[in-house]
Amino acid sequence: MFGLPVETALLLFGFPLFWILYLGVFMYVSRNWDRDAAAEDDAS
Amino acid sequence: MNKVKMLTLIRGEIDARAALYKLEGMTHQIAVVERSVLYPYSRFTARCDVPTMIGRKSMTVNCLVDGINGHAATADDFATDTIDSLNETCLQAAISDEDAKRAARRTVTHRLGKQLRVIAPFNVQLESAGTVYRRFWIVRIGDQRIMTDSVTGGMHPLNATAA
Amino acid sequence: MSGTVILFLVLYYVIVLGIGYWALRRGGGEDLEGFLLGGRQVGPIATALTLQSTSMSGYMFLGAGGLGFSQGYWALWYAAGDIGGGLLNLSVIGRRMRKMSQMMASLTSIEYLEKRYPSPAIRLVAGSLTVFLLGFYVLAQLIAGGKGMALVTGIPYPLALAIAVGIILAYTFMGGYLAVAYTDFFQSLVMLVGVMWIVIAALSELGGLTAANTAIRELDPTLLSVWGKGLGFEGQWGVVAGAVLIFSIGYMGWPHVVTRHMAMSRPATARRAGLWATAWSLLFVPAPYLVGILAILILPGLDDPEMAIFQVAGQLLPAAVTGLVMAAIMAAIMSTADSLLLQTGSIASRDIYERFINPDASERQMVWVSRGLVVAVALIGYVVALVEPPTVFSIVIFATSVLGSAFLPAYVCAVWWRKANTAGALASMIVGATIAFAWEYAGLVATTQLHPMFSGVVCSTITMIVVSLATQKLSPVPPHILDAMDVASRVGPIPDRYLAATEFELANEAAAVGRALGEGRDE
Repeated sequence: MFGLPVETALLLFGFPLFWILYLGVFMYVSRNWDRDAAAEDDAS
Repeated sequence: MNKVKMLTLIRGEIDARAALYKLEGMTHQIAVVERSVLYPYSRFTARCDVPTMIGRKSMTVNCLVDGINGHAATADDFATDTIDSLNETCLQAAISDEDAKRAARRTVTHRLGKQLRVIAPFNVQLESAGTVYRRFWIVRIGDQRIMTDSVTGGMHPLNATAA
Repeated sequence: MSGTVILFLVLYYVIVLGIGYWALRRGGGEDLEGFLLGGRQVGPIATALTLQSTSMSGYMFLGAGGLGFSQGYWALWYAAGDIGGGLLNLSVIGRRMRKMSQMMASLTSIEYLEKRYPSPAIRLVAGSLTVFLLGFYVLAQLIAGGKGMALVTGIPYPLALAIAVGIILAYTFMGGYLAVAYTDFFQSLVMLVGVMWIVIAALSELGGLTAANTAIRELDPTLLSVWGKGLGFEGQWGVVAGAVLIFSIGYMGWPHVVTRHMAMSRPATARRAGLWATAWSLLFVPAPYLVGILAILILPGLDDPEMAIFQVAGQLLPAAVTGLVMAAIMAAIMSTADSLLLQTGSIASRDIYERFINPDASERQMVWVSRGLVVAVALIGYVVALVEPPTVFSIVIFATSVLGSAFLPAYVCAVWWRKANTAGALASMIVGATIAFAWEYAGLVATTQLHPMFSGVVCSTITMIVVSLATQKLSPVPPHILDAMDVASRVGPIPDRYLAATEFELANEAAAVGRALGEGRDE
C-alpha cells in the first residue's frame, strides 16, 4: 500500500486504528459520565 | 431568652423544589428534601496588583475558605442575604482565622501566578469579610442521600456510611 | 529567508500583541478578574489541546522531523504511541486524579504526591527530580527557538538564541504573555493549518505518497522499513517497545502534564477531552514525522536534520504563509518554554524552598527564589545550547524516559492500587530514575537492546509492587487516603447514575456534611 512494505503500512495505519478502537471502548465504558451534561447544557 | 443568631447567606437561585425536580428528572424516581444544611466559609477580599504589558493593574478577587476543611478557592462575586438559622442545621467552623487567612493567601498567589503566567510579586492584601454560609439541600432518593448546592445546583452524593 | 517572510512574521506578532493590548485596555481590571476566574474550570477542548501541546512543541517541530529525516519510517514507532498518549492519560487517571487532588487540596502535582504518599521525602525527591528534568525540556525549547529565529531572520545563531532567551524571560517576568494568551486558540489553529499545509505541499511536490515512497526506495529501501536506516534496529523489540511506550504511557508520569487533570471541571470533561485529544493527535502527531521523511527527497543536501520542517516550509510554502506559520510555531515554542520555566520556578519555590528551607517565606522571597532559579536555568540552557547543542530529539527522549520511569507507577497506583504506600512510591521513584538515567549514560541500550524508558518503567513498577507489599505493616496507607480513593473511584458509595452530575468541587463539603449528619443521628 502506498509503495510501502506490509509491516510499515501496518505501523502507519494499524496504530491509529488501534487508538480509535480504544477510544470507542473508552467512550462506551464511560458513557454514564455525562449522562445529564447534555440536558444541562440545553437548560442553560 | 434564647437569642436568634443572624447569619450571612450566599444568595442562591436553587430552592428546595428546584433541587427536587432536578434529581427526579434525572433519575425518574420520587425524591424527598430531608433538610437543609448551612455550611460555613471564611470570606476574604484579596486586592492585588498584577503586571501586564501596559503596566501594573490592580484587581480584586473574592476568596472563600472552607470553614471545616480549610481549603481555599477563588470565587465570583455573589449577593448575600441575612437570615436566622432557626429551622436549619448550621455547621460550626472548625479552623482558626489565621489558618484561613494563610490558606487564602497561598491559593490567591498560586492562582495568580499560574493563570497570568508570570513570576512577579502581586502584593496581595487580604481583607477579612467575616463568615458567610452556603445552603445545601439534602435530598433522599431511594437509599441514597444527595447534597445539592443552592447556588450552583451542583450535586454530590453523601457517603453511604454516614447517611 | 525573503523579506516577505519577515514582513508577515512581524505582522503576525503585531496582530497578536494588538489584540492583547486592545483586550487589556478595554476590559481593564475586570477583564483580568474574568481571566483569573475563568481558568478555574477548564473545558474539554482546552484540556485536550493543552495536554497535547504544552510540552511538545520544540520536539514536534525539530525532533520529530529530524528523526523522520534520518531514520525514515522507523520514526513512526514514536508517533504510534504518541497518538494515544493524551487519550490514555485521560482515560486511566484523568477523572480519579482530579477528584483525589480536590479532596486533598493539592495545588501542584508534586504536593499531590506528598499528600497521597505522606512523607516529606516524597516531596523532596519528586520536587528535585522534576526541577532537574524540566530544565532539559527548557533547553530543548531554547535550542528550537534559537534555530528557528536564526533561520527566519538570517541573524547568526548565538544572537538569535540570546534574543529567544531574552523574549522568554521577559514573558515570564513582566507578564507580557498575558497579552498573547488571549489568542491561544487562534495560535493553535494557525499551527495546525500550517503543519497540514506543509504536509500537503510536500506530497503534491513529490506527486503523492506512493510516488514519494517509490523514490525513497530507489534511494535506500531500508528507509521504508520499520527497522530504521540500514535496518539498524532490526529485531530490537526492547527498543521498539520503549519507542511506543515513551509518549503513550510516558505522559502519565509527567508531573507537568498530569497537573492539567487537576483543573478539569467535571467527569464529563475527561471523557470529551479524550475525544478531542484523539482527533487532534490523529491529524497532528504523524504530520511532522511524515514531513521529515518526505524531506529526504525535497532537501537531499540538508546538514542539520532537525531543521527539516522549517526548511521544507521555507521551500514549498508561499512566502506570506511561511511567515505566518513560522510565527505561530515560534510563538508555540516560546509559550512552551515559558510554561516550563513557570512550573520549574513554582516547584522550586513552593515545593522545595517554602516546604523545606523557609516555611515562613514571604511572597517577595518566594518570587525571588523563582526568578533566581528561572534565570539560572535559562543561562545554563543558553551556554549549553551555544557551546555544544545536543539534538532536541535526544534531550526530550532522555528527560521523558527518566521522568516517565520515575513517576509513572507513583501516579497510576495513586488512584488505582490501595496498597501502594509511601515506601513503595519512594523506592520506585528512585529506582526508576536511576535505572533510566544509568541506561542512557552507561550505553546499555546498545548492549541490552532495551530502550531506557522500557527498562526504567519495568524496574520502577516491579519496585513499587514488591516494596509496597513488603512494607504494608511498616507503613500502612492511612485510612483518610483509602476513603478518598473510594470516593474517587466509581465503585463504592457513588452509584453510576449520580456520577455524571457529581461536582468535583463539592467533594470536601460532602464529606464534612456526611460526617456531621452521621454524628447528629448517633446523638
